[in-house]
Amino acid sequence: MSRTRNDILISAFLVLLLVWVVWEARSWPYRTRLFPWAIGFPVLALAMIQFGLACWKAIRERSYVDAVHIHAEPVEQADGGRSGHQVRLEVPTGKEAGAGLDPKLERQRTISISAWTLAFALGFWLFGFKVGSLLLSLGFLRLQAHESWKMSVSYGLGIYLFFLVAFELALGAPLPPGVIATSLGLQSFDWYLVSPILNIILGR
Amino acid sequence: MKKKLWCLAVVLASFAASASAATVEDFYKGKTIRIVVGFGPGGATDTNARLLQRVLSKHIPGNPTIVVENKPGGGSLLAANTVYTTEPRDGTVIASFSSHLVVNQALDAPGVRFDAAKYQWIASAFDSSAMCAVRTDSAVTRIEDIMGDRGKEVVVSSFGKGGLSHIEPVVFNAVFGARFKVITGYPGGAGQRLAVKNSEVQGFCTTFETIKTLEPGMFEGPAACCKVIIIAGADVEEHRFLRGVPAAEKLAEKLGKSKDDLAMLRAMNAPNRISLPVAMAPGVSEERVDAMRRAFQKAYADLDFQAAAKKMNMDLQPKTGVEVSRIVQELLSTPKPVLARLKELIQ
Amino acid sequence: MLEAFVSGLLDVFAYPTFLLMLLGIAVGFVVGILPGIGSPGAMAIMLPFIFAMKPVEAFAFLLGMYAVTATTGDITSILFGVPGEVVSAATIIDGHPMAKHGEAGRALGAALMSSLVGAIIGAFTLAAAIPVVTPLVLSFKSPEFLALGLLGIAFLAALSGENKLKGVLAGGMGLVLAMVGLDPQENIERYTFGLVGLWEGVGLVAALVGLFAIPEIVDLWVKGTSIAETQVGKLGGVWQGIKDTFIHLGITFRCSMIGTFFGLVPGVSGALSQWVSYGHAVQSASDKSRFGKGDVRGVLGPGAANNSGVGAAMIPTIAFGVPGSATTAILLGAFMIQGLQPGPKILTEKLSLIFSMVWLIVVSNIITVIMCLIFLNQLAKITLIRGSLLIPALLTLVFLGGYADTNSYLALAITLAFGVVGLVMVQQGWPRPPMVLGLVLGPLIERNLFISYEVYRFGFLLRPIVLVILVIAIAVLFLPNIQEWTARRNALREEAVVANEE
Repeated sequence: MSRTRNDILISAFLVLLLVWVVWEARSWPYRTRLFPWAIGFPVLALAMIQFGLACWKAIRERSYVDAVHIHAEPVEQADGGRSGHQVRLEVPTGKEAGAGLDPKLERQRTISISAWTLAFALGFWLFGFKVGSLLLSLGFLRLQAHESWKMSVSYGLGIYLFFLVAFELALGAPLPPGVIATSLGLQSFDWYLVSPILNIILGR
Repeated sequence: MKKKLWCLAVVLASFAASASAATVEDFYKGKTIRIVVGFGPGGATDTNARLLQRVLSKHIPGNPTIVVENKPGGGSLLAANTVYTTEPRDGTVIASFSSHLVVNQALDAPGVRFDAAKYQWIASAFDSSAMCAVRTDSAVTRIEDIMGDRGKEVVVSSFGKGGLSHIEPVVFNAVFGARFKVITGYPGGAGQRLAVKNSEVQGFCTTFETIKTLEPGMFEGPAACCKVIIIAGADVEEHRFLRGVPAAEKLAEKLGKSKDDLAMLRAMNAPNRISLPVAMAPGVSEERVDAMRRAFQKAYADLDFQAAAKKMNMDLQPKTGVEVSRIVQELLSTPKPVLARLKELIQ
Repeated sequence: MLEAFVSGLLDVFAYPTFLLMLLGIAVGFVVGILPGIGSPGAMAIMLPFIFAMKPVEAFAFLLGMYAVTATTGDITSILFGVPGEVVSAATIIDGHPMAKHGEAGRALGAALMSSLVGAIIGAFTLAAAIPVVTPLVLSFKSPEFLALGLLGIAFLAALSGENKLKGVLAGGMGLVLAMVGLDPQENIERYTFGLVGLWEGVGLVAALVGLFAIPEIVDLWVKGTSIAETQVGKLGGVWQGIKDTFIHLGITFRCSMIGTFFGLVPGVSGALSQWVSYGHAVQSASDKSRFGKGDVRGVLGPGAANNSGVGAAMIPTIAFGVPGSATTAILLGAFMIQGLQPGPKILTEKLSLIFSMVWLIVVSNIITVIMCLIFLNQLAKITLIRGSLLIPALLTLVFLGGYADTNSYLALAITLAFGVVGLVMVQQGWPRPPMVLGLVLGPLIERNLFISYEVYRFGFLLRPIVLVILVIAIAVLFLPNIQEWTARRNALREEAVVANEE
């Protein structure tokens, strides 16, 4: 049921998006507009069909549920948003396989990893790849994955050193310092720390 | 003669350099300078930057590390905008973008977030000219063949409306009544020229530098297919591909075209005269800009660089930052009605 | 001709050419495994080093690097679901599920061996085709490009899996996304929200890593396990994968031909041929049920196609100056740096250099595959490391890959956005390959549709090559229906036979 509901939501969103796509094109010159319309209208029609089918499926499921007087819950579990992971369903349920996960935990974990993914993107934007990956790996491993301090710190430093050695020193391709350092007019956050050390090592 | 003057300028410049070098040297020592290239790796702009990268460091006081960063987007507009607006203005960032963006600014094209008049121009690599060529099997041998009501129509390929490959033929159409039919949408200069080689179209317009470096095979040798029929500018450079080819400004004078027509021809060709320019954002201190201008002058005169350029068939005619600025100013001060007409033409 | 063929080979083994090739392979191996940075980034950085080299040395260095990255890209695709290269995205569809089932070794073995076979077939086809290649390439004009684009569209359904409507809709959305940016004809902004960074489109690399890699990372964390969910026997299976290549030699061979053909077409990159060959692998299989869930044939097809195209792609690049991808654009740059003029005469005057390049691709592929085979078991063990330890490194690689393509922060947002799209699509059972195909095909079709019409009017539809390609496209569209129909008829007949016997 929840998958059907999501299908309705998604196809409704697509319909709206495509309406916007063809609407935007209305005032463009002919050659700019032709393709958006030639593609946009048929795809819009497909999206409407998909929307109709999803609604129809929902109505049928509901009437089915009503007819046999089964509580909605089991149906939801049977079809509950997970058949997308066809792969997982194929895997024999064992201690390693996640097939036995309780949906609540699954949702919770999806939310937390999504938040971390967002955090990584933001972190790279703000602090650049070297410092960003150091901080975020450390944060993720220690706070989210509950790894030991030792593991988290050495992991973060490992990535940092990899970037420093492979990119900046070996390839001569500096990574972006992040918007904060740039707006402060710094070459990068770690430069002032690393460059004296490098100068000593490289004998400059 | 031109070359000798150039060398003299370099020598004089290097004497002047020693005066204010101390503080600049302190600043650049141990630093990294990024050349932000507005195109992906492999093309002319990128290759030029990487050629410079090899020799530039030793000519900058403090010998900073030089790296090339590709920031493709919007035909190098993204790089030009970014360096102007968000990158540090301490002299560690050099922008390398298409000089045609100056035309975009002059025509109030969307997306331009810089003022070319305030950009601190460092140097440019080529002094080239717009030209159009047609296939030799197209029954057109001279520009006059396609001029006027009884002229033949010539289909030419272009890779971007408003860009150099489009603006050239439409300006020739407007000034000379030529009958170039421009087909836009070809993927890049390579795609534009492929369409000529496989005779899908009968001609193309580009800069003379492009064919000298990249496509001499289209004009001589076993696969020769084309002939130049017109070249922009007041004079025609001495070159075997250009024998008997009229210079657009001369031709316009001969045909008694108006002053505005001449101004339009000049504005159209101005970016080609400062091809492959590099610039620093406004706000970078004068002494660092000066140091960089001198460094580029010396880099272009560097024997190592010249040898590499010669191997690549590049016929360098570098310009100093001051010269580039002058041409940019000239272009930006083209009379308003001329710019308006130009804008109308490319729409 | 034969002389050039042999002397080309000898040049490869000369000193220091061979050493430089090994160096290139080594560099390519390290940086090639990072998504996005892959071959273009690494090769661009190496360009200044080739000024001092002779042509054959320079190409030994660069092609060694290039050949490796085409293969190592498959490795990250299989192990992590992160496309290491634009051309190895299709390998994910079946390769990564195999890794999840504990068959990483088999998938890697199949990818490597099919890459090798593909590279060899591609190189030799190319060598044989050199005398006719100039007229062949020149016969491809805008209408032919358009027809190839339409052929790609015909494969949408084959890439859609079970739910055809969702698949075709996803493909349509891919085409819509491909319109973001300046339109090719009028240079007017479409759906760019005023961002100059979107003028040249959404960026294929950012889209691919977002669409494929982020859902896998989420899945990895949600499961709370290692990438391999089950430990089926020993990790190995590498031999099985190698054997698979030869069991399904037909697919490997045909997909190598597809890759070679698409490589020869100027301006069309491997980004298209991998999906066409994946679609072909699906269509030619009688039992399609395992595709998308870990069918080795889905690894063999793209694996063979992307390596066989490497050699072929050199022809439009150096004989016509039309590079089809970021990597070949750099090779063209290298060509110029070496003082060589691209042009058809290169095929006659520098034949021995061309054959050296062909041999370089073959030899460096062989070396790469041997090297990989040695380390393969170690590589496959990565799938046994607990997921939480892989996630920070994977997230870093994903965003770095998206960023490095254009060096702009906007790419981070695009990667993230496609990550959300990919996640929703996986959760709701929408196939992702059609969307990628749409994204790749959009510009090809739109550009060439207008040009074809403006130059030829409707006459473009009657050109012979166009007709041939369109007939193939129609066959591709309706072949499944015919197959289904004959299968049903056979089944009915069998039933009848059984009934009669009873």
